[in-house]
Amino acid sequence: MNRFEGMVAIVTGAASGIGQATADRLAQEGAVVIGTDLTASATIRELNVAEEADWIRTIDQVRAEHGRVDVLVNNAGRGGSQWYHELDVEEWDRVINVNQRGTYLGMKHVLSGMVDAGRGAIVNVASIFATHAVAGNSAYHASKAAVVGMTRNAAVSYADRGVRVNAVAPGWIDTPLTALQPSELNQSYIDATPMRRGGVPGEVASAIAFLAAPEAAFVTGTVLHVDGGYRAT
Amino acid sequence: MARPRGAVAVVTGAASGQGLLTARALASQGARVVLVDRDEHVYEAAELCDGTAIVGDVSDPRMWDRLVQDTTRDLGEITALVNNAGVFRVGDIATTDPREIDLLYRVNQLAPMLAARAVVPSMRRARRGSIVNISSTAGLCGRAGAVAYTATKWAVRGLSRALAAELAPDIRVNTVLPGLIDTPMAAANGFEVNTGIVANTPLGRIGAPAEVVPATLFLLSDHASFLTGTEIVVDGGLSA
Ligand SMILES: NC(=O)c1ccc[n+]([C@@H]2O[C@H](COP(=O)([O-])OP(=O)(O)OC[C@H]3O[C@@H](n4cnc5c(N)ncnc54)[C@H](O)[C@@H]3O)[C@@H](O)[C@H]2O)c1
Ligand SMILES: NC(=O)c1ccc[n+]([C@@H]2O[C@H](COP(=O)([O-])OP(=O)(O)OC[C@H]3O[C@@H](n4cnc5c(N)ncnc54)[C@H](O)[C@@H]3O)[C@@H](O)[C@H]2O)c1
Repeated sequence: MNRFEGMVAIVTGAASGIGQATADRLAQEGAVVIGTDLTASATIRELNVAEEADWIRTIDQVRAEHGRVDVLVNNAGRGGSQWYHELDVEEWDRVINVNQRGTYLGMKHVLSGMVDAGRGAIVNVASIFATHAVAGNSAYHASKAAVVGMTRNAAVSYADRGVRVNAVAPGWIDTPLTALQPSELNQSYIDATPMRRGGVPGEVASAIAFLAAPEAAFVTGTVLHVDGGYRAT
Repeated sequence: MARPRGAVAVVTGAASGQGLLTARALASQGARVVLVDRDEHVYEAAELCDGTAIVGDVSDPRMWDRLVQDTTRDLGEITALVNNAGVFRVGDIATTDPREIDLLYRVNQLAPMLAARAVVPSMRRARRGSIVNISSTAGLCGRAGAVAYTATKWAVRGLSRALAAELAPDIRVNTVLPGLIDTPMAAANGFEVNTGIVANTPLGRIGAPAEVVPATLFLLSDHASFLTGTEIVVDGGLSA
């Protein structure tokens, strides 16, 4: 398939896991992909999603080089595992700054160009924990629920200007992020997943690509779970 | 889309609207398609897909037994099922004829369960299968004047999720929830109601049936290998 032929896509957190798989998928399907992350490399541009100045610089560069942005995937994210009574404000801010503020800044800085062009697609990466609670994980839950709220609001706000905004809500996915977690914790998520396995990043990339593609022209404001059945039970 | 060779797909309500386009898209990807409808136009539809037409009532369990028997004998194990056939009626609950309530229940709610019941043993033998049930945005909210339809479309979501849990990992079950889509069914609403729905749809228009098909095909495909018990809403933002 070549659903993204001639399109320009920005993916955040593209050096690892789901972001890397998404950047690869969009590129395979014809997009010019600008992969971004905290540290630059041969294929990655530096963009800390929590820093507005980084967004301004990156969007200016991409517009100068390619004229526009057709697709934004707000994927960069970080975990946070404490309970509220143990969570200090600095850790709360770290999680909220990347997951929530980063998503807001990304949308803010691509939307004006998308509105001018009369088209665009944004896919935000939420989590099953946006809609489903496990104990602990407080700031992460809050930030991912915010991602869902921002997705729905932006979808309704920009629909008549040609911009679609959707989210994916991954379940447990085998990435460097989850590899850092205790193995008993990881096993408990897999045990609670009807498919009895974790997902691989490419399986989330497929759902992101579907939502970003022109074939999803009538899909906006939705949250697509990619979770092996976790939420269904 | 990555589609295993030898896919055998059953699509209900395939004589018209979204079902017909779904069947055609599956056929163009190389699947062998069995098209079911109570409407005899399904013969012409099947010709377009080089598929097999079955004229029958999806709420009849014997129809499903025969379909599975004939299909597995002639084409092999069934690997995809799209429960798309549906009926829509408007009406005030106090004045709705009980036979009409029964019809909506049988076609929209009972039939997908009978279909799954009949088809799952074949999918289990194939060790793979993907089922897509077509609900509606009526299954996400409460709509006055369409109580029976609303209740049956909520039931479809419950069916999908319970089946997903029961049939994992080899068989995936997901739901597509269309908003207002330009088919003969939508015409039953009447102009005024549809104008109101379009006004509430952020994208500001009715959807084309061809815009629902990619969601169904994605869920059926191997690209959706980690999606089960989930839902794709195709409604122009109506329910956001
Ligand atoms: N892995 C899972 O099970 C899972 C489940 C649900 C949701 N998610 C979400 O998916 C997204 C990707 O996660 P992953 O599992 O691929 O993780 P990952 O750790 O493999 O990749 C995340 C990437 O984001 C980058 N990043 C972190 N903070 C950043 C910042 N401030 N600016 C720019 N980049 C930053 C990291 O450097 C890393 O490369 C995250 O939003 C995560 O919350 C993951
Ligand atoms: N059109 C919309 O606005 C809309 C919105 C939400 C959901 N849906 C759903 O989408 C699905 C497809 O609807 P459509 O819009 O293509 O409508 P449609 O009326 O064009 O097609 C429905 C098909 O189902 C067939 N059918 C009805 N009862 C049957 C039975 N007992 N046995 C066999 N076949 C039977 C009909 O003959 C018809 O061919 C339905 O489940 C419907 O509820 C439609």
